Amino acid sequence: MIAIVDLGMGNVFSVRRALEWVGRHDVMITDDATQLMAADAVVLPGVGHFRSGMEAIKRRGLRSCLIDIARSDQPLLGICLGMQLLMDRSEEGGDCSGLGVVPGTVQHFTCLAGFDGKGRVPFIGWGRVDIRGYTGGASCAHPFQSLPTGASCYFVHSYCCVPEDDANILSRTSYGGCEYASAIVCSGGTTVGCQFHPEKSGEVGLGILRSFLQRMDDYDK
Amino acid sequence: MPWSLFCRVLDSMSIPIRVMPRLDVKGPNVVKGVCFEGLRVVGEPGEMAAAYYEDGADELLYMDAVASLYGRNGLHDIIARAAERIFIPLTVGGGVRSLDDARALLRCGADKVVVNTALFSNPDLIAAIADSFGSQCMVVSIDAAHIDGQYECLVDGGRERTGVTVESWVDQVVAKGAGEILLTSVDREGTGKGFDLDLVRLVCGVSPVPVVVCGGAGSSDDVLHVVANADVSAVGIASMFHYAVMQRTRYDHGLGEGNTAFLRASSRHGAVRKGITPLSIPELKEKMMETGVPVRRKVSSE
Repeated sequence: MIAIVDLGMGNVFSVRRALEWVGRHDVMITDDATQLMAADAVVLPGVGHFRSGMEAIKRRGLRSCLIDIARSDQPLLGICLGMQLLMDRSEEGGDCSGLGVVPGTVQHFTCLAGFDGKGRVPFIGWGRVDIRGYTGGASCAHPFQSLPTGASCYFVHSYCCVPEDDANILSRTSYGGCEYASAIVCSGGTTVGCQFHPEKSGEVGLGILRSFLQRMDDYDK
Repeated sequence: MPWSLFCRVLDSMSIPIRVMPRLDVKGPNVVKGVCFEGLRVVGEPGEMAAAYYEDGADELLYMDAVASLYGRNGLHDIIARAAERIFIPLTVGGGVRSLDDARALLRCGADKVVVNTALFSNPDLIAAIADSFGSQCMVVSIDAAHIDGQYECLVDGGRERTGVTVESWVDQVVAKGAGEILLTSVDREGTGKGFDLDLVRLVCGVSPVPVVVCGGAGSSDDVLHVVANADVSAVGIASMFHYAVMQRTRYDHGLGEGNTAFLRASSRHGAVRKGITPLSIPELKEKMMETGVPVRRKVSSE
């Protein structure tokens, strides 16, 4: 069973449909910690404010559960805000603590060094997802192993993850004269975050979801 | 080591211009008019959307063409069906009047909601939608006409004047949380006479958020021209794409309500509106690539 975390933010149905399209029909949308812990894999989507996301997690009593899942070898995929929530903290709306699974912060595009100010914010559109700079271990199988060179995915965001450790940066994307982390990884490759929306990135995005699910099949509960 | 040290300036790593088919929907049909009038049936929403997705559309824009008349948006079933099998963003509008209207569309599969008319009587709706669902869900549509030497916002499907200039409206809506602007020239739409570059440059100049331009593309040159001369993020195209689909589809039977005479004629004789070159998405993207405009391309899998 694949569990999609329902924070009441963002279109969880699109994520479910995409997972179903690539062959999984045991997808559950839930905010129950027990079900999340028992799932073969967890997807944490989200759209909206960082603070609202953390408050939604706390209201549902999911903070410890999500941290445990993210730090374990249970597969977890964070999408958009879901990826950002994995970080230590965000500067969106003032300083706000995240789940603290990946060291680093979440910053507005305009705060990134090298941002040329010509890129409009939010970044809405297709950006190239480049995994060539990934410095993590080759044995860390990850959802991008089938990603074609030069592939693009759909982004819609104003804030970016800024991990402290290069080894957590799975892919980079360029926008506004700057390169930023478009995907992150930790916990031996089992926890991944995508700033873009794989469920909205056409065949490339569906391929990423398929690879994530293949990885999940290796997870032995 | 802080990641910020690793950010570097890259040259010519530009973001692709999004190519966005625009489907104006009336009842069960995709329709097309000129300057928002004289709507004629050009196809079926599900088939056209699937064709555009296959062809490499970067996003789909659905507008309920008669929502103002009925006081509601009626595209839920169409969006829900599209979302079953189309995995690119769906932007939906027409007759959105309240937070509940927006929520209903987002729940059935829309990624972004487009609002125009209702904002003039209820500008707080922008912040309500942006706060509830995020600014990136909140697209403000501006239908503009050149009147008395200024570009003025129109509402109600281009039928009513507001007296508000386009540049002042852009400032207001962005301040309230609009994440994107959808700009349509009422004077040019459906005519194939090209985009209104003065209007486009005006809005791109005052808007800090991405601008999608719509209205007037009659050939690939029109698209190349606007992209080369204004900082647009996306182009919304209806006639050129719809007529190309019409020409390659046979409609022998099963056509129901609406003004379908045009559709039948096109299917049989290849007739389309004068001044508009039927063009497919791959053909347009090819032309864009040839002139160095960045576009999203299909990449071969490993």
